[in-house]
Amino acid sequence: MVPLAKQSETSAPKATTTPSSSRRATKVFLDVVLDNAVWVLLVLLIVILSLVNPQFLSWSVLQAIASQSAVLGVVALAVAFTLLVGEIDLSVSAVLGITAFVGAWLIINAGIAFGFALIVMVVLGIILGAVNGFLVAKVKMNSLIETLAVLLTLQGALLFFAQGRTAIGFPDAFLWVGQGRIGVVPVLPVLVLLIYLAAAFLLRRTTYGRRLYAVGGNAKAARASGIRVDWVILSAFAISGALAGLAGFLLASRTGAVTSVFGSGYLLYSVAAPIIGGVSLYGGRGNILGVLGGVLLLSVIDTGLQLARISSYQITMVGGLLILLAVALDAFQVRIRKGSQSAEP
Amino acid sequence: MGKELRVDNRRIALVVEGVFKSYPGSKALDDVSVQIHEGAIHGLCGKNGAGKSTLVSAIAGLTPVDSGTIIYYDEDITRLSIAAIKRRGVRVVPQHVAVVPEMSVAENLLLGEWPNWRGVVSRRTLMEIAEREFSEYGMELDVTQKIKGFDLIDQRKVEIVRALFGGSKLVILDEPATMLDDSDKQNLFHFVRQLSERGISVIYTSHRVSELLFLCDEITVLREGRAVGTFSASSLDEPSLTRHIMGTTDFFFTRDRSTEPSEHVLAEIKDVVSGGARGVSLDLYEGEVVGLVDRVGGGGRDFARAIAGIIPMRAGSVRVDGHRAATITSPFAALRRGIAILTHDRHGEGLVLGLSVERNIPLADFSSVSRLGVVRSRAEANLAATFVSRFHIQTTSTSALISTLSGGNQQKVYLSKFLVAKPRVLILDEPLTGVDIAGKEDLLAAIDGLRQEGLSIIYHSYEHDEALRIADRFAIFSAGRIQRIVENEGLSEDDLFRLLRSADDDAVDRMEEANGPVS
Repeated sequence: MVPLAKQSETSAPKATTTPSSSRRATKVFLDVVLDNAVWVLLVLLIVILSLVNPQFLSWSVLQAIASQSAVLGVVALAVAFTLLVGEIDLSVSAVLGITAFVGAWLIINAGIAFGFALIVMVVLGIILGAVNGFLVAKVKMNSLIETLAVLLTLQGALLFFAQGRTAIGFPDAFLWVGQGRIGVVPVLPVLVLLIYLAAAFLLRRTTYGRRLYAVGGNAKAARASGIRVDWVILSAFAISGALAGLAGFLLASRTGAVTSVFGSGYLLYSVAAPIIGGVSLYGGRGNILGVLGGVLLLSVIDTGLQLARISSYQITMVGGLLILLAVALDAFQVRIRKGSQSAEP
Repeated sequence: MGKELRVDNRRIALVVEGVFKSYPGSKALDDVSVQIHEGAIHGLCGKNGAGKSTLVSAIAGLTPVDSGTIIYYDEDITRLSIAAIKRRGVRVVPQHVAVVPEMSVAENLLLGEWPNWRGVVSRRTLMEIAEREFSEYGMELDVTQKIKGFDLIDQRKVEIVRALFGGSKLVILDEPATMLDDSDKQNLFHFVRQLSERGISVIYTSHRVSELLFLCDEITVLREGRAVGTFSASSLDEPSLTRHIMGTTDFFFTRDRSTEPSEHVLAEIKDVVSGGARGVSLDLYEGEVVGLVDRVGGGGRDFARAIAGIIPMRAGSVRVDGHRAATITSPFAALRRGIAILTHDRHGEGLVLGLSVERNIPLADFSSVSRLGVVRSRAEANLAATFVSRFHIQTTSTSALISTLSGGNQQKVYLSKFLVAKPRVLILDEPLTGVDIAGKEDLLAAIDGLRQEGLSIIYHSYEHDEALRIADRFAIFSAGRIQRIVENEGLSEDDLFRLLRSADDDAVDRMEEANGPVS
């Protein structure tokens, strides 16, 4: 990293200047690397892991990574929507748990058709998200604390209603989405990729997406431009809830069982993934490709550590350290860029 | 003492000698030499990109120069570190107020250097030092109060005193009069003169020619990285200084007087109560510019912000042609009625700095670049390109980040954003703040063009000389109301100042009429 940092200090400070061609090439290269830091890191890690353990590149391991990434991908996306408007939704994993529980009850105990149950799950997610959004945007509660309170409430509710039991016995059609495959291709990752494509379209190509970025980038300016900031924030939380509900369905379908602590493992990863992927905690910056990169990176770390036979007593600690490293690299790249921009104050 | 630098028997505080600084593809400083006399107020001016900020940061040690020397009281400081230069007494006060709002005046004054014993701050010593410092400069402030409760002018003076703390002898003030009204400006000028009388040298940068001529002893003009010359202020007037800055005068905007405002009332504003505005009524005609003249807190700004929905309107109504009279509750509601505002806070309330030019422009109205909620990128780029050529916006491309543009060009993007929404009433609050001379002329011409297209424009500014060049009539505010409306015919800055004073008297009279004489 040393030569890179040195280069950026001496590189062109002003947009109007025309650096020499070799310099420009280095700068473009640097920009590409920094813009896609999470992907560069991901490739690096895969190379290292496959050198350490050639099994890593086998079809079964890659499938495991893909299906583990799938559910994390949806919850990370849910959090990302709220981060983009400059807020945060910590309740995503609990919304996932409670909607999965309601869905399981409807299907197994009440015998409701699974398609209808799915709709109920997503709608429940939207309602819970909208409540969060209302309390944040209209009542002006701090989203960090508000969603933390909702997280605890919903986690508690799940514990209370589940009474320590585990719901099992889903119909095959329900399980096919999470476990089935078409030919050799598993259904779940493909479905999640489609969700990502839809989200990318929404954020990049629609006026709604533009408003979302404007609100996150400068809420006052957005408001003065006639954008109804409250509604944009509320809707971002509603989308977050919908995705959490969907994730509840996907995880239940993948595991085939809903426990009383269902989804709680996703709490920190769902926040870490988008931030590692370059979504700003302060809003207005970040993209879908970055979120995907963050999700894959976390899954590769997790799977890689398991393959490396690191004991389960250490795995959380080592995983945490690796995340710390990823975030440190991200902070480092922000500093490099600032250094190359502010040569003239 | 050695040999001491003296010219005309006056000591020299700072010598900049043959300084070069180039960035790839551009020369920021090209053989610049300047001498600053001890105790002088030395103006530094030039267009954006002329090299002012590079020169200032070179003196302060923020930017290393390629060659040349900078000598401060017989000592070569060219290669010294920022901290070393600071220790020797060269300080910079940046343009934007940088205080910690929740801390007291005293804590802000000694920010980071609080008197302490092993980390425990002695509050009493802190307050004593602060009081002594301020009284030395003839200021009486309650140093225990939080600084956020003070006016901008006081905050600025606190910053200057902070820069001087510890025996500074040369202070560089970067656009210090920005956002100050007339009386606050006089207050600031008086304060700066006081410093100079105490032997402190002041480098004063500004875009405003009148301010420089009024305050400074000497003025150095930079153009395209070269020092055009250093002039004694008494040898210059506004046109000649402007010519030095620009190298030409043929860019000057003059108002097109051929089109008269129509008789048609476009908007009726009635009894607006909001913040400092206490019942303001105003009719706006099609194709006119109404200047609002007030002091800070006099109600003009709050009135302007309330009718655009930026701050809540407690009472009153606005009726724009074709709409029913209504109380404006949000910017969204205002825009639907064709009312748009460019607020005084371009960065805070105007632009999304992290987005590009083309992404900022359609934010107030996506209808021309989208279909069924889907943005057509081509249309978006074209829309931006239209405005870039219409207002001569200087940018590397329409996809460049807003933050890379100069103040004047940012302001043009800001204006473009609201023109997309096709407003009928356009409110401009300090639209020329932080805009260089050429940019000002461009913007004034653009505003006049919009007036001729039939927009009603409200123009609020404390820079009366600029307002005089564009307004058709003036509404004079005092005590939260319009006391008088005058046509802008043959008015001067002095006239406006007098009108403002007599408006204050009128306000007092009216209050006495209502409440009986004040004992």
